[in-house]
Amino acid sequence: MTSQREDVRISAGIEFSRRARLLRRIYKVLIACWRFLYPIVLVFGCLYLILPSIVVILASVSKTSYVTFPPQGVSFKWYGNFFTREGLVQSFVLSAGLALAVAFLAVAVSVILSVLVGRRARGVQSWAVTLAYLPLLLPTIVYGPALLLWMSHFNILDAFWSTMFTLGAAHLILALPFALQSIMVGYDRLDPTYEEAALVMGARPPKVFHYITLPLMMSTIIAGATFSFLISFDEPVVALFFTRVDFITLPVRIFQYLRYKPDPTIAAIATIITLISMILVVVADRMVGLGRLMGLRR
Amino acid sequence: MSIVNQSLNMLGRFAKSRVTQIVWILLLAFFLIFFIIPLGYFLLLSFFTFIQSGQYEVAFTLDNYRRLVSDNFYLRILWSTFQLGIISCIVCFIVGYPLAYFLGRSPSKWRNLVLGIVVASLFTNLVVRTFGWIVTLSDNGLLNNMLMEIGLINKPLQLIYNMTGVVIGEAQVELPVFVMLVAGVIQMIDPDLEYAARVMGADNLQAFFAVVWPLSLRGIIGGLSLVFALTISSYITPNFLAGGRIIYASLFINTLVTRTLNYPLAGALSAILLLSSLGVVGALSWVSKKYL
Repeated sequence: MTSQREDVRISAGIEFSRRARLLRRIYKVLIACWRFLYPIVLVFGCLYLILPSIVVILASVSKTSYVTFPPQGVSFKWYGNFFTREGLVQSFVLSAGLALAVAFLAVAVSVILSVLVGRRARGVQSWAVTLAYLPLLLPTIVYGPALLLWMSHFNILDAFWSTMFTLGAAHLILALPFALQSIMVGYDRLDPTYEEAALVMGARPPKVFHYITLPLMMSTIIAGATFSFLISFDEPVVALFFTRVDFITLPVRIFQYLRYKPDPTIAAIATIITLISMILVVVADRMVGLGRLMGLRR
Repeated sequence: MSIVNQSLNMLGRFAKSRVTQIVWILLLAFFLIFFIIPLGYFLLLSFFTFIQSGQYEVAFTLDNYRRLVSDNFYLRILWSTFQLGIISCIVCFIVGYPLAYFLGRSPSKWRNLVLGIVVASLFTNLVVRTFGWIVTLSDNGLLNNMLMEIGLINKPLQLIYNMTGVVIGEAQVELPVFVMLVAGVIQMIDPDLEYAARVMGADNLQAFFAVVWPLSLRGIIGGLSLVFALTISSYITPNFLAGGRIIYASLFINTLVTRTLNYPLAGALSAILLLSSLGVVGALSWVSKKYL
């Protein structure tokens, strides 16, 4: 006694439940697949991140004079070229000195800023902190020419030391957000009770700063210094615009070699730079912990 | 109590002393001379009239901007720049989100290793990484060698000096930034919310899409807008991996400043670059604050 219309409805219902069952099965398969795929995606991501560094290290120990992969035999002769090839040691010393100066100044400015506005950052003087964070969003390819064109009015590129001073200032501005981030967070976390106790006991503020605040902030200060050092030491773009014959930082030197004659010597220098960065990152990790430094809880 | 107040006042007085004021003035002067004024000057240049190499006239004009948005040559440069930004965002999201989820949520013992890899790659020199990609992606490089050894291909794939190569290199540069940002956001999500979803009968996937995904959306948008801003203004990676075959805005700014010495046009292009990166970051953060 079923009508035509009901028949259609029932068969549609059967069709629907079959499709639902199929969908559920597909869903289950997908979940099973994902459980299998997730580690693969993670491993792929990690490999993708680390691949260029590994390739550079492998290329630096290759025996052949052209950069090749897989390397034919192991040799460390390219590392010797670091000392003999013209200008490399000079560039290294220049970059390291500049980065050390930048790190010292960035830390000094950050400590001053965080002590002066740290816990009262919502006060009048927070504009200074905002200003210091601005360079984070500043493209170096815009900043480099801008600074160069402005400074060229004062013949700044005519002398070695004025060039160094200008580039140092630029690197300081680029590094400040990173130093400030780690040092201000460190100062904010510091329990004010210690400082208050010292004040109550009659210590003058400079003495409190020297004996209480500074030692307690030491680990974050070292982390901030590490970051600033790396920012300056690794910065190629602004440095490219301030290059003179006697003023070529290490990243710019590699940049130039890469453009004209990539060979294993460059891979060797690149490996040395990478190792320096890694050592400094490990230092920062031991001091504050990478997770905390990057805003993650352990 | 009054003693404490008195002492704290002392700290306050120290903060307001003459020395402190001098420090403030020095800092402000430093930022003005080396940051605000150079940028302002460069942007001001973009309104001046170009005469010939290295020379410009102080006469207000919008010609530089008009050239950039009407000439096909410049439009193509801007288009490939934004295209690179968008594709890098997609790659960063696909590869980066699982990593960020792992870092933000997993109790695994591998977590520290992954964290180490991400931070280490964040602090590897840009030029060194580019060098690594050149060795990896070139015609007789690692990847092509491996694929030919296995027998998957019989002639080298064109992986470098085209869009593919630039995207591979650029996404790797921005990936750690994205991962760290999103991992921070995911970690802030209360795990109890997920447990609640599980208790109510949701499976892993449902719990993820009901809790973690919507709550991490703001972090994703923030991360992607940052990736976009950093990508469109990056210089080193496109310079080497595009091999001069694709011109990006950043490369062209360099050409204008160091070769053709057309400072006004370079200023205008920089202004567009700066505005679009700040604009994207600002607009997306406004959207995510308003609607998420």
